[in-house]
Amino acid sequence: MPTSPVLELRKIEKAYFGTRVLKGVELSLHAGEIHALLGENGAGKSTLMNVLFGMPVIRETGGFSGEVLLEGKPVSIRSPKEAMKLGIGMVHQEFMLIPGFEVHENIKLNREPLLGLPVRRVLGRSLDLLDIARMRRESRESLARIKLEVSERALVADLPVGHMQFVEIAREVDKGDVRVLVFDEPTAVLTESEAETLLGVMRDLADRGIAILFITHRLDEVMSAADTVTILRDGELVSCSRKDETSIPEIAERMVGRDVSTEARTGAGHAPSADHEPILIVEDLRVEMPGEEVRGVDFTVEKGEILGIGGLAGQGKIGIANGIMGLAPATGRVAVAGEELRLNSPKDALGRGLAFVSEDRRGVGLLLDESVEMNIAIPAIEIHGRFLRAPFLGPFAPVDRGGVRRHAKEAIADLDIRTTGPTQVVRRLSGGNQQKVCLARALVLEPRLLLVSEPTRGIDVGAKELILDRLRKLNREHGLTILMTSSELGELRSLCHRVAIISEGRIAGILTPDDPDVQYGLLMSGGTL
Amino acid sequence: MNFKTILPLLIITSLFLACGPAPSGGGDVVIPEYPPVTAKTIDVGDLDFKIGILTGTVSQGEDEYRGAERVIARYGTENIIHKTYPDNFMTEQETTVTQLMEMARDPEVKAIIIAQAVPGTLPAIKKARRERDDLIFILVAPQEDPEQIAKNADLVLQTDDLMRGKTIIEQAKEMGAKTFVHYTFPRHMSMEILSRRRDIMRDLCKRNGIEFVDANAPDPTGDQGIAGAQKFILEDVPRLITEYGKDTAFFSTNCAMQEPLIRASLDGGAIFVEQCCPSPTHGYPGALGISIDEEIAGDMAKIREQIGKKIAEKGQAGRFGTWKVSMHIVMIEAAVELAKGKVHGKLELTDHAMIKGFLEKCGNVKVELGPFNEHENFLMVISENVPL
Amino acid sequence: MMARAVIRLLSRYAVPILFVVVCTAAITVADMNLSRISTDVLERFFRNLFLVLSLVIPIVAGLGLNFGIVLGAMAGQIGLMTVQNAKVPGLGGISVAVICSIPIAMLLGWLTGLLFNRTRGREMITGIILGFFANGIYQLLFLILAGPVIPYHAKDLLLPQGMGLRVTINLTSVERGLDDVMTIPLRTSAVVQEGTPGAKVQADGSYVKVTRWGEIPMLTLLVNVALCVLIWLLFRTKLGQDLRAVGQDPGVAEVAGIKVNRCRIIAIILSMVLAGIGQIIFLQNMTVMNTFQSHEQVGFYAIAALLVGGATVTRVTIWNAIFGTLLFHALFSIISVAAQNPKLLNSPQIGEYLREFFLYAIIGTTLAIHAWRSRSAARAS
Repeated sequence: MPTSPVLELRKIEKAYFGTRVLKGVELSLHAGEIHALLGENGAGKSTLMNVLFGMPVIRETGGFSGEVLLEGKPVSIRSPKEAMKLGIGMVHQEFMLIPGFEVHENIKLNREPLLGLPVRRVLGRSLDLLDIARMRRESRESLARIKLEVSERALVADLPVGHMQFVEIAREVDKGDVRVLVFDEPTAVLTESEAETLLGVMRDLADRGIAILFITHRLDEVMSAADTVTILRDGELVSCSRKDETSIPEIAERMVGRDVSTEARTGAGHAPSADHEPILIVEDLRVEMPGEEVRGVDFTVEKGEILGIGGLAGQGKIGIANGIMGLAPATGRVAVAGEELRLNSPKDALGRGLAFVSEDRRGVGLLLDESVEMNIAIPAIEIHGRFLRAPFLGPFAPVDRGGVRRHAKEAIADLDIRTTGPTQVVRRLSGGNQQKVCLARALVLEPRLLLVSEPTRGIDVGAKELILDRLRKLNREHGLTILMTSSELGELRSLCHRVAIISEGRIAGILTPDDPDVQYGLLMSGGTL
Repeated sequence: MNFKTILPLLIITSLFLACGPAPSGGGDVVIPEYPPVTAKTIDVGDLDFKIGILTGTVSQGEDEYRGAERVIARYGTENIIHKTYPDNFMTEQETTVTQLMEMARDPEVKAIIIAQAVPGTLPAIKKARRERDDLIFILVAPQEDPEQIAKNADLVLQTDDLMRGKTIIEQAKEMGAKTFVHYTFPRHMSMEILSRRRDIMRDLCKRNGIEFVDANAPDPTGDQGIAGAQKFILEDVPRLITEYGKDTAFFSTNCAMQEPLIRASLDGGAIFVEQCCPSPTHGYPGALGISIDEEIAGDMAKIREQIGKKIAEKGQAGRFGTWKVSMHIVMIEAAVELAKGKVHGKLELTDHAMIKGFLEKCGNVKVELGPFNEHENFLMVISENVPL
Repeated sequence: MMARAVIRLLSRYAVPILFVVVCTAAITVADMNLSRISTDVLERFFRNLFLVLSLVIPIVAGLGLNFGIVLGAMAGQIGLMTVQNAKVPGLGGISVAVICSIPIAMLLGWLTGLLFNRTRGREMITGIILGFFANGIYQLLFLILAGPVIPYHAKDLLLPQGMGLRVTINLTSVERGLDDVMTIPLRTSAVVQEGTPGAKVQADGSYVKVTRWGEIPMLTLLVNVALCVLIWLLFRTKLGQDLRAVGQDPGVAEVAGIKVNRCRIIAIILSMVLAGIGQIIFLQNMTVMNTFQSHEQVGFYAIAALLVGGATVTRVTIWNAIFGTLLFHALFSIISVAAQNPKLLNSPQIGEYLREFFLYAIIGTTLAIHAWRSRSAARAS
């Protein structure tokens, strides 16, 4: 590794309206290095990247202090365009692509090659014609460099999510002189195979001399792909070490600052209520959920147990909970505590004591433009008429704001929701905290069966543990029955009494957490025991 | 002094100019005087060609449509083509043009009568003449610039709004008015005849010791719409009656405002000399809840009688007035006869004696007429006001 | 299989088919004269197309339907007033009017653009309100300041009081200045019986009737074609690409370094300038200007025509403008005349009410069809 770094961030300090978000962070990046940047939600990773990339929000909120050096020389980056000119590229978590444009138009956005007609001398560069042939050709080359087999003329809106990510990368690569490339949670939306390809592409790019900064919270990716690992916590630099000098448990611990055992299996083996009384009986459930079709499942959930539903992506596990809750068209028979549940009716499901924490928290789980407290309270108001006060004029009953506030504060404390207060708009919270609000929403209904779908997706290690722990407590101490769908097998095995594996839309088998890994592997890959 | 200071100053100055005293007439407030004319009629022959009549619908004004119907009743639909221009004529001028062109392109049509000649008439006439130079256009109550209308139409008939400036004030004085309120808005004041009439009224009021109130009302074709304008009248009239007393005569230049104005004046015990279009059917039936059914439709005397009854009920007899007949209906009927005469080569459309003759014959009423701004083919017609 | 293909074809061309059916029905039932219809429709088409085209650019740039073209129309009218006041004749007069209107339209466009940038997401309603407000200022200018301050002194413009413009201005100087440069009449002639109305006797004693199907004003046609080409070219330039990006996703465009606010202002300025020219073209054909009302007619009909042609608030093509103008004005013309035809109804005023109802019902149905089609297209993808 060459000794002088391509990029150095020295003593970066940033405060948003008095709250210090970055407290003297230091980072150095060398050419050809893949440097992972880890931290919980709210640790300051995004802010650091905004500083690096010259995003307007930094300037608009008072700027930052500290130095940014590019190849040893201090630089002042005041806009994304300046960052681009200096050779710093960023592949964002939320795609910065224009869906209505073709791939090549996105790759060349605001950097389009022009024909250089004489009109530009008279009327300016803006009225020069685009050199479309060259746009297409150069885009094809960039796509080839990252081995993406997509036509440069395809409409981005028509591409699958994974390909969109690659188009983002192609765009950065197309900026020929890129020296530093930042990837912000790149694998969050990718399938496993796509994630692998991505890590391979990163390696290729690094081998060609580009310095790569790679923000993630997936520890296994870090260990497989990164050369160096920097950990931020609460705006401070905790550690920076080479990969071979550290291990997953150490990293996890440093991120969170508390003792975390990712393999904890506290009391997983305890049996639920001895009478094995079924609280949910599902017969021949078929659900039409695009991408996660259920083709006939039969199972029973016993009162007081945590039943896990696992399986590979696209095999149908997500469809089960959505079908039961009426969010996707379903047929079949479902009985809750002996009474038949009307399918395709969320109201009925909620009325019968089922509560759902959806995997699509932004789309289904939350009212993004409402406050935290209202998000938590509304289900209870709607379904149970809670949090209302006199005069109770039917639909015109006023809301008991005090009660809502109190309950929200309890939930915030209970679930450690990081927010500026119960009135903060949910849209502003980080993913993990939004998930906690979703959970609070579901719990306010005091359900007899809680369905949770991908509870810890997009959440950092510390929050993960907290949520799982809360679920565990609800089950052990309050006897709440839980139906938990997750793509993380480890989490299922640490929490559930039984785990059902879904393959091809059907239940391939039901295992206990202690069953050997090979059985899990077989069922998930479509085989049989 | 930089741009930021100058601009607001400019705006404020021009606003003051706008709110200041209304522009006075072109120097002299002259009430026209007409040379005397003796009425004359001749036999103009049968209707052996087609005449097109373009009017509004009854939601615009009862009279013109009924006038056309009377003509059809007399001559039949073979030779009389009756079309209406859109209710929304201000915005749908292209449609007015289309309707007129449809009539103009029929080679059997030799004359077209337009009543009232709303905006859209002038472009339509010009387009028609481009294709057919033999067409005769007779216009009733034009709403476009009178100079241009006079140049482009063969004959224009309008109730003598200028002379009415005098007759209305004289009648108001007779009815006991001490104040005269004139409701209008900028678009109407950009019409030469209407703004000159206002000046005449103002001048005469001053000479007769009546206080003249130049009141501003919302334009019904503006953003407040007809409803907004009518609401304004209903609210403003009582306010002014309180301020100036019951011997206040009210007047408005706009048709949509007549009903609320009559209503409010009657309820408030005030005076109302004439509507903007002084026909018994204009405003009164709607304001007083009189339905024009088969029996009395077209019979001006009977209609006036009914109106008179309602007004007497409120004890206001003698303080409300209108004309004996609907001048627009009479003009349409006379126009048909004059068109026949012209096409058959028996008269010229600048023969004032003939015009007066046919008007008096068709309406069974006395009229006086004279040229506007010295245009021999643009005649202002005045008839008798009768109290109800 | 055949059935499915036919249904697909029908739904794709649902709107034009609807129009053709309705118009054919009207023409047949009311026994209408085709040549008169054709003349009227052609005239309306060439008169209105430019204005409809002026709406295209703001939609692409994400500003929605520019109800503010009222201001552009005002600029055009000011140009015409100036030219009529100075009595500059013919095509030269039109050119001068255009040149006068451009800086005014640019200024108004700039101010409107600034306003729209502050009311992102609500541009359309802002445009409507802005139109009312601007109308007030316009009336102030030309009822009070015209004469004493603004030097219009021609007798056919100024009221005799010396202050304020007349309510109608007859554009005698520049009327048809663009259209009449070269017009190609469409005519057919047929031999007919003696005595047929309109027949003219020929040298050899036979009678010939000439049917006029309308005329094509060549220079106007050329100007419109030129505009279409320019718009198409614009969207192949860097500026055009920036406008498209801004229209689709201003957030992404901003991050990519495109100056979003500047692009939006440029889009509005272009639209206003085009609207000014469009209004000049409209009025030189109408030959008479309603000083205080002509501009108010502009927004509603141009926008309706564009929507009928298949455009939406976010998507538009030049063909939407062309087809929309043609279909919309054909419908208007045909229904207006048919409804008043005594063969259909015995009362012209019922005809008027029927016309209004029918017309707006068809327009509403068209919009519904477009909406349904784009929704099913979205679902299919």
